[in-house]
Amino acid sequence: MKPLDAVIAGLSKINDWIGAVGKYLSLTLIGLMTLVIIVQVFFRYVLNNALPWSEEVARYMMIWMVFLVAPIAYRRGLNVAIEIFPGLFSPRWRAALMVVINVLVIAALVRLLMESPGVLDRATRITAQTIPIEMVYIYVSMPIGLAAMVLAGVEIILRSVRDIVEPPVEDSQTAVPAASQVEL
Amino acid sequence: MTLLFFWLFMGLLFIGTPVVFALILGPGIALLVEGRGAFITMMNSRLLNGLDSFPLMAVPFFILAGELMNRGGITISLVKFSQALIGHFRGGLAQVNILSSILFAGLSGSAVADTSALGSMLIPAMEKNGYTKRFAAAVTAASSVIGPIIPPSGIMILYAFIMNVSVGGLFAAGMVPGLLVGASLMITTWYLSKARNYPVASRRATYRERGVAFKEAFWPLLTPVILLGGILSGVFTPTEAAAVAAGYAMIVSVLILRSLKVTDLPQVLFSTALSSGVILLLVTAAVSFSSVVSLSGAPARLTEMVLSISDNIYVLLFCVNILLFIVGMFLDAGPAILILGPILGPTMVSLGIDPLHFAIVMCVNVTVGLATPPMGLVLFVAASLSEERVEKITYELLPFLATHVTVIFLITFIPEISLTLPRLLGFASWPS
Repeated sequence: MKPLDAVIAGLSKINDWIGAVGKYLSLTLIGLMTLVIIVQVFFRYVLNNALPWSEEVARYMMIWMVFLVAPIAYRRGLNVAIEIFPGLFSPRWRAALMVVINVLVIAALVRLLMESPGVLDRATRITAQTIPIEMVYIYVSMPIGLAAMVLAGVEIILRSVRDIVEPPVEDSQTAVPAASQVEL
Repeated sequence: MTLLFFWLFMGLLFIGTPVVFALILGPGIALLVEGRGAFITMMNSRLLNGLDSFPLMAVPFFILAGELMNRGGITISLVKFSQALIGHFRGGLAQVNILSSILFAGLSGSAVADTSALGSMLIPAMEKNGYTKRFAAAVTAASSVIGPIIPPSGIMILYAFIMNVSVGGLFAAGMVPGLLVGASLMITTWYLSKARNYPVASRRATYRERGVAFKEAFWPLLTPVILLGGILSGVFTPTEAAAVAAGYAMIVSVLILRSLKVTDLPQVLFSTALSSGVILLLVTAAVSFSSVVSLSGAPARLTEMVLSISDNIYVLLFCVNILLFIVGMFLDAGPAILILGPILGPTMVSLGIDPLHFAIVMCVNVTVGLATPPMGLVLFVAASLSEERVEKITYELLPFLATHVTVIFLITFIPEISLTLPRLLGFASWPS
C-alpha cells in the first residue's frame, strides 16, 4: 500500500495548508463581523448617525466565513450524521460504506461547481448595494469552498479505501461521535 | 413532481450520510432522475442566498458569546451564586445544577454548551458529595434542555429565520415555558432527594455570603437583562443584541473577571467559526431543500392527509408531539427544526394554531429530543463527561424525561403558557 499512502500523505499536506489558511481567515472574519455590528450600534445610538454599509459588509463576511470553514468541518467529520446503521458493521464494511457516501457527496459538490461559471458571470455585472464592489468577489467564495471540499472528500475516500484493505483496530474511545461539540 | 426526493433523503440519512449532504443529494438526485435538472440551478442559488441574511447572523454571535462565557469562568460564578441560594436543601447540588442551568440559559442559547460547562464542574462535585455518577449526569443532561428554551435561543433563531416569525416574539414566548421546565425538574429532584436521602451541599449561607456570591455573579447576570431588555424594547435587533452580548462577554471575562487571556481569543474565535459554519451550512442546505419541498407541493398534500386523520387541532397537536418525540430520538434539534418546520408549520397554522404557540411547541419538543436516547447530543456529552455508559444514564434520566413530557403536554394544550407574555408585549394578538 506504499503508493496509496504516499498519495494520502501528499493530499493531506495540501488539505492541511488549505485548512490553515481557512482557519486564520475565518477567525479574522468572525472577529471583524462582531466588531462591525457593535460599531453599527454605537454609531446609531451614541453618535446618532446610522452607518449605511455595516449590515451588508457583515453579511458578506459571514458568507465567506461559512465557505472557508466548510472544507475544514467536512474533513474533520463535524457534520452531524445518524450513525446507528453504520455502527452495525465491522470496520471494514463501515469503511466501504464511507466510500459510497463520500463518492455521492463529491458527485453533488462537482455538480454544484458546474453551476458556478454561470453564477459568477452574472455576478460581474452586479454591484453590491452600499459598497463599490462587484458581487463576484462575494459569490466566488462558494466555488472556492466547494473545490476545497472536493479535495477533502478525496482524502476521506482514499483513507477509507486504505481502511478497507487494512481495517483499523476497533477502539472504544473513538466511539464517541466526533460531532459532539457542534450543535444547536 | 413525486415525493422521490423525500424517500431518497430518508434513505441517505439512514445509511449515515451527514444531514447537510443528504439535504442536497436527496432533491438533487430526484431532480436529475425526473428530468428536471434545470432546477439544480435554483438549488445552487438558494445555497448561496440562504446565507445572505442579517437575522441569521445572530447564530454566530450567540455562539461566540457562549464560548467566551464558557471559557471565561462565568460558569463558576453562577454555580457559586446558586449554591449560596439553595445549596442547603436536601439534594442541594442536584438543585444547584438545575438552578445554574436556568441562570446559564439566560446567557447561552445552546443545550450542549450548558451540559459541557456545568457538567464538567458539577458532575465531579456531585460524585464527591455522594451522588452516583449516572444520577449526576442525568440531572445535568435533563436540566441542560432549559438552555435553548429560555432566551436567548439558537434553535428559536433558526425557527424564526426559516418560518419568518419574529425572534423577539419567540424569545418572549419561551420565557415562561423555560421556567416551567426548570421548576418541574426541581420538584422531581425534590421528591427523588427525599426518597433516596440525598445529601445537602452545604450549611445555609449567611446573607453576607449570599451578598458576596451575588456580587461576583452580578456582571454575568446582567447579560440577559441587556439582551432581553434590548430586544424586547426594540433598542436592538436580535442580531445586534447578540453582537453586543459577545462584546460584553469579552469585556467581562478579559477585563473584569480576568479569567480569559487575550492570547486565548484566536482559539475562541476559530471554534466559534467552526461551529457556526457547520450550523449555517446546514441552514442554507435546508433552505435549498425546502425550495424543492414547496416545488413538490408536499405541504398541500400533507395538509390533506393530516385532515383525513382528524380535524380536531388538539388531536393533531398530539400527533405532532408524538412525531417530534420519535424524530428527536434520532435527529438533533437544529436539523429537526430546519427540515420539519417548513413542512409542519404552515399546515398547523392554517388550522388555526397561533404561529408563536406552534413554534414553542416545536422548539421545546425537539430540544428535549437532545436528551433522549439512542441519539442525543446532550446525553452523549453528559456520558463522556461522567465516563458512564449512555444506557445507565438513561435509566436515571427516566423520571426527568417523564417530567419533560408532562411539561410538553402542558405547553401544547395550554397555549396561554407561551402566549401571555408575547401578548402583553404586543408580539401576538389576543384571542377574539
